[in-house]
Amino acid sequence: MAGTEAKKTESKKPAAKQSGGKKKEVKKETGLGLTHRKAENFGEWYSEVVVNAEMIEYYDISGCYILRPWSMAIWEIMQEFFDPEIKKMKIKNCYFPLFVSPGVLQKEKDHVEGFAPEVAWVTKSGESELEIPIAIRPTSETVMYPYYSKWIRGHRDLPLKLNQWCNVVRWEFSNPTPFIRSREFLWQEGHTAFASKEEADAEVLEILELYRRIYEEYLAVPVIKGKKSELEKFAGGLYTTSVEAFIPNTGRGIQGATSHCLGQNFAKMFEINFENEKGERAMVWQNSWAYSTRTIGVMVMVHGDDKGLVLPPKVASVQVIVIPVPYKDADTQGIFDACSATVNTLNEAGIRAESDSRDNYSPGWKYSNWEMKGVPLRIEIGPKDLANKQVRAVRRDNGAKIDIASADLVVEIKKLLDTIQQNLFDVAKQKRDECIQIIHTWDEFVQALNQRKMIFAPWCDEEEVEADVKARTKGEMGAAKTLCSPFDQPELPEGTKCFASGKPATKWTYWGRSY
Amino acid sequence: MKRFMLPRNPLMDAVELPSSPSPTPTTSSTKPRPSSRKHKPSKENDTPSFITPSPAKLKSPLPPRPPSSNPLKRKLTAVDAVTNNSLPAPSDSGIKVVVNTEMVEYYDISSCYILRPWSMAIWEIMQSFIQCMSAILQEHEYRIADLFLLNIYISQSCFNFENNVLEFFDPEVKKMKIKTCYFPLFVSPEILQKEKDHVEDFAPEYGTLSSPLCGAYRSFDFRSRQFLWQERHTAFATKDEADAEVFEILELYRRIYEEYLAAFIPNTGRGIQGATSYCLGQNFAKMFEINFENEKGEKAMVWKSSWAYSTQTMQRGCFRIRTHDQQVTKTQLYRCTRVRPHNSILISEALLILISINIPKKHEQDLKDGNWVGVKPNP
Repeated sequence: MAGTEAKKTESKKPAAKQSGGKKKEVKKETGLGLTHRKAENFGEWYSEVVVNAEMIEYYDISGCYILRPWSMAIWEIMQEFFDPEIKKMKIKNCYFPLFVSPGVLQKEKDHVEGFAPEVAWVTKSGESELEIPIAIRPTSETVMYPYYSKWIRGHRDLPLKLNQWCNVVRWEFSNPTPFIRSREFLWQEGHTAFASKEEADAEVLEILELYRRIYEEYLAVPVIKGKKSELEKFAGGLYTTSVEAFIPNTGRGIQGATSHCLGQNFAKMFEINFENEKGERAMVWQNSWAYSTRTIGVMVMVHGDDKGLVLPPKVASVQVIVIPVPYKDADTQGIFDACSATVNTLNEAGIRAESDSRDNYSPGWKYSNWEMKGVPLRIEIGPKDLANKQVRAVRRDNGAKIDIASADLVVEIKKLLDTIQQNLFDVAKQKRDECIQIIHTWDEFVQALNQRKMIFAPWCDEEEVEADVKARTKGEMGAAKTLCSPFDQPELPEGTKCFASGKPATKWTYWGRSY
Repeated sequence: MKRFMLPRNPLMDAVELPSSPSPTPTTSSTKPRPSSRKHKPSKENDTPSFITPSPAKLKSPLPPRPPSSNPLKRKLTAVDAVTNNSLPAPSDSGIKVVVNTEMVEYYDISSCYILRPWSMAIWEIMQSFIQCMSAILQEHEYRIADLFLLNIYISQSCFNFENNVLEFFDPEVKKMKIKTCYFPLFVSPEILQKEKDHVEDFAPEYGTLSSPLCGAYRSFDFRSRQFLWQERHTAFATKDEADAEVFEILELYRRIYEEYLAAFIPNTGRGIQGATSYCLGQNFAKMFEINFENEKGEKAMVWKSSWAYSTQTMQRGCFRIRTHDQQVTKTQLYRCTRVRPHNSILISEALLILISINIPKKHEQDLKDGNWVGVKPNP
């Protein structure tokens, strides 16, 4: 994540700022619903969904957002997966200060140039001017590496592997979009130092695999693992790997998470040296890797529909919502008791279930409300269900209705949640794969770009050529660029030409516009 | 928003570090407040200039490195690092302990510290404990969990170290009743002005950004300009509910002690310093117009309360980690606690991080290595 975004200068479709009070809920009102349709006005739809599903609230400082509990729970669930995984790799958590002194920030020119326009500065304390301004971290390389230099002396101090869960500030000026592009966001950043390049290379891929799992196994979003081009890699690093997602509705790629091998560039700048086993002086090899709350935005974009958010069960803080359906003359108390019992049974089995027993809303209103919020499974219990000792389950992903005997509740609900999780992934993967277009010529490229495809093209891997493609496709929709060169490379027949330059192609690469 | 500051110590100014590159003199109370910037035009596209202070003003961020990687030199370096920060003699002992035990590292910006893995593991244990304990309190219809007032010693049986989880309940399920959120770091000046009554106390500690939309951040304590904490804010329809939350601690005390932890509570006096709980009444509701329509259709204001704990709780021994193989460290830690002089400066207190949890010997190394998994992974 770090660095690459700073290179994006092309304009993008702006997401309109949604007034939080526009759809103020009124008792008994049936005004639930979205004004915009996903297929017709994606940007407006997205802005509306994240607010109406109570994921964010707009803050009075532009580009800053409040993460409400519905979002924060998703972030925490992903953290509960990722944090133990890196601890298994002997990576330890730490916390470095938010602030960077200017002298340190300036040490690495390429790195600084990537971030300089977005660095926020503290210049006062109370009413007094600071003698020396202090920057707020856009990322933590310059914060941490002076101390790596101090702490690493001999080969026994290696590897040094630290991670930090924190916030960062990048005072971006264009197209704020909740989760996708904001001035402050939450992320995890890992910074590791090794004695050898082989160790660093190995870790880059191990971490990238964890990022793939977050996307594919938790968020149900298909991604492609690959390497960034020289133009798109992290400034100051040796090479960058990433997991790339794709948004079919807009035809844009989105960088999901990044794992960078920094090589020895920062070690040189910050004098991170050690005495190796032979007593010689050597420089460390470093990595840095990160994923952020952007993951949540990707999930919303991929799975949401015209009814609202659609949450994969694995990351839903409420996996099952139980709604009583009272009826005149029916055993109302029995229905409510059945709902409570159902919730308790599911919770005891490790399923995150809640009931909605609010008496000021109708069952129909509640259905729409929880659909908007994306709860994977709804259980309805009415007098008929009570009499038949069953419940009715309704899937959020496809609307299917299933009657389940109370005796089989836990087993069947678990199956359903697994099925929903897999179905969300399968549907998303099919949609993405349908958008992949293999091309060989410039004309085909332009046509595919206009059709909002994810373009797969033979490329000569020359930086000038990529810059030329950017220049030639520059427009109000934003320029096309490389997304990544997948690790899984199909065969490249001899004599294949680069689609853009006509020179011999050396690899297959995904191209497109991106967020 | 009133924050959880301890009373200002009059010795504060006297112990201001002379070498600090960022002095924060106290603002005179007679100085006029800045006028409202309600209509300040947006400068969305302005780019702040990249300020490069002259080299003469740039303090060297790090002490000079010794030429050799000799292990003895490394210990000397740690001592040199302390000495080079020009701290007064009375705090030497405490500072050496936290530096030499690899809990913190001095940062090149004065009063900011790096929390190294050993401290971070402790913070994570505390978070995990609070999450689980808060969950169980929810289960038993408590609405607050000011656990640090209890200054609890957690016995070995409460932790299952083989699986790194608190044993007697499943945090994965219990936790779902707790809701967390994240509000931005920045506050706009207009909003900050709403807390007029409290701004005076905090003014010297606000930092201001020179950026298109002027914002501010807060540093609440001179002991460290930035620290980690947890804060909870609740709102109720009636004063009785807010009062009940604050005072439920007494019943919580009894139930946690008798029904769950069977733990010895040595000194609640210290605990009170470790965490705080306030009934904010309706003062903030008035200021920020937090109103609701009650059941009779009338307009009313909410009653609020809040409580918090932070990494500074670690400073007051609210959690104590006893390790069996660290004889020297343990002696040093306890010596600092016992012999701290009356007039010791505040900054040394900030460095006396004392955590006590009885951890079996075989898991000490795991903790030190940072191999702490605070919550059970999602299946």
